[in-house]
Amino acid sequence: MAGSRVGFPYTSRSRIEDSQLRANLRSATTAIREKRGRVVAEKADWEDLRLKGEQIRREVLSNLDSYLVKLESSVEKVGGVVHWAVDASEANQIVFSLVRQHGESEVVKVKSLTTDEMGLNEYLSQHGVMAHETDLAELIIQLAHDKPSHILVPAIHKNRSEIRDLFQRTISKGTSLSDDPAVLAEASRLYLRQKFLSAKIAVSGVNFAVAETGTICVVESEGNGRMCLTLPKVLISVMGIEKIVPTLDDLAVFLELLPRSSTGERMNPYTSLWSGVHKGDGPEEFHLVIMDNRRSAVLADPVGRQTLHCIRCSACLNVCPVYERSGGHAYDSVYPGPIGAILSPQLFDSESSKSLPWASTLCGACYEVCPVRINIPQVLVHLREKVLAEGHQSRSERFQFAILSAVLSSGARFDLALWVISRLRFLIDRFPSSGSLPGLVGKWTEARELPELPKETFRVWWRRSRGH
Amino acid sequence: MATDHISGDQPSRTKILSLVRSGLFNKSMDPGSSTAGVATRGAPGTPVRIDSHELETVDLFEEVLRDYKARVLRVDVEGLPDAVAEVVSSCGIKSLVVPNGLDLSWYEGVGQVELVVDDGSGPAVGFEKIDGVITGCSCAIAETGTLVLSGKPDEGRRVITLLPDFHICIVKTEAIIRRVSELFSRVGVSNPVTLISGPSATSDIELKRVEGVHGPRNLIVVIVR
Repeated sequence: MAGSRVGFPYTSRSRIEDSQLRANLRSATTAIREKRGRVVAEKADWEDLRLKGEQIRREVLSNLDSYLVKLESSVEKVGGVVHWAVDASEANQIVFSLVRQHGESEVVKVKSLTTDEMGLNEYLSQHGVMAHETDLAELIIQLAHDKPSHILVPAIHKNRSEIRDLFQRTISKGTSLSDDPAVLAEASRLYLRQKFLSAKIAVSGVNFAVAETGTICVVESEGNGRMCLTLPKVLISVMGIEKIVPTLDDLAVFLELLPRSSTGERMNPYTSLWSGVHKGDGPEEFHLVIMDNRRSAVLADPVGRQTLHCIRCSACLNVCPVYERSGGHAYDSVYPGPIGAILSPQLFDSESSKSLPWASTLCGACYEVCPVRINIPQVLVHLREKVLAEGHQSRSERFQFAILSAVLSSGARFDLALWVISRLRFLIDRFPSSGSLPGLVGKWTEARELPELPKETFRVWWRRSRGH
Repeated sequence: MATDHISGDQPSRTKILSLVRSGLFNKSMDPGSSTAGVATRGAPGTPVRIDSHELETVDLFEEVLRDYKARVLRVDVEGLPDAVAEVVSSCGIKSLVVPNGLDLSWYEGVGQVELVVDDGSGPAVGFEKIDGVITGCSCAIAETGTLVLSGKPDEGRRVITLLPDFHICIVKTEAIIRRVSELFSRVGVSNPVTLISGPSATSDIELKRVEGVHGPRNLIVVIVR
């Protein structure tokens, strides 16, 4: 992939050179890490909760067919309509045809990664339907024609004065705003309230769907979710097939794990639960769209399957040294960060996503914070093998690794190699320490100084001084 | 659950279920396959510690709520009407909605206020013009400072606690549970359930927390002994 214009090494380069972006990211991720650390430390049984969370996710996935059927019948029993979508385009068509049936040209939306994955807003707009994002950050992204860069805080890359300027150009035309976040939040409140009161159809994602009762759960902070889930006459919720929990008590486990991992709060301000249609309270029509979009293929991979445990908390982004420097856009996917590095290559067949398993130092911080214990480094290494096995490796790289493997797998060959290198010291010493090595290994010296070679190797020194 | 019921005869349904089943063929790495839930109800677990000391449930509830910038009052039953009246007047609330199941004696002291008693039957319009709402709650969770509304007669339908800017919620001490795992032994889901933990908030701009976006920007919790 050397010299390629797609892929993480290319897309991250300009970002890591942007010192403003790096400063924004550093302060944001540091702040959220500290908050998470504090509220997690409060829970003496946090590790038990993580184990329970993992166990529930594993149980659901290993019996997913039964749980899907059970969820369907529970939702229908309480008055909901269930639709199945094999892929994103079918899910888009379902949503659009429901909107058209009601003769509407506008919908209000609750922030949802699944609909971002589908490209729903773009699809609807091509068909003459305007989807209004109502989460503050999603609204900012939509108004700026930008892309989200964080799962939880999509506009993490924008600072307050940029947002003030954007609002003055768009939703608050003709008024003068300060860049105080409270003033900006007020501006969005005023703009969106009319939308909420007049909207006939809302589209949401699903955080959890309870198979036993057909109850759907959406967690949020601002109240825009409650507005969308309560006021319009028609509600359409879209979920990936993996978003199921068996029972309400299982749901309670995730209500403990998710907010502490995600925003570093003991609980998010608002959590809405509904079961189908409730007469006299909320929408009169409820549609649940259950979408596969290659998740069943992820399920078939015994190592990759745990990726579907993810509850989209974004804790892994905030601890990742790579994400902290590159930001979310460098991943060129709806799902950035460590979880994106394992989810994107499995869900999307794009060339750029194939580079993502390398967008990691394998430090393991993501695994440590994951509330459902996804072994992200394990999956990363597994996906690296898979990508390489598909032939995405240059001949010279394969050759160099073959030599390396031969040298490192035998003591005698290793000794011999060290001896050869020590004989070549005079050559290497001529290199300035800041210089770069030739060829493919030159990439290594691009960002590192060449260490000085010692007079004798450790093994020689050991034999001389202690060995005998 | 070997037989599926035929639902709307959707070809995509058949396809997804068969893809999932073939994906599950590789079961080698997964343990047993019970269809029961994993979590146990009401497991007490280890209580949360804040600042490394254990708090009584009610004190913990109050402390966590204050952390969310909610206003908290503690009164006994006799003091409740006065406390509610004081909150309504000090907040400058001119119009109020209450669900029709709310105990009249709780809010009889509010004085010169335009009052709407909602029985949930009319169309859900006009509530955005009302300043405040008073409700009870089904239960409250101390560890997370959470109020649980589930459409009971003294809680009303969802819209009345959503559009007004002030939410006054009355919590009886016996309704306060310790942690989230006990929640569903207290509350069912036949009605919509809303968990409220502090006033509406956002941290979307530079991660700076702003209280109050779309939901009520002011949350006042009155704990009644």
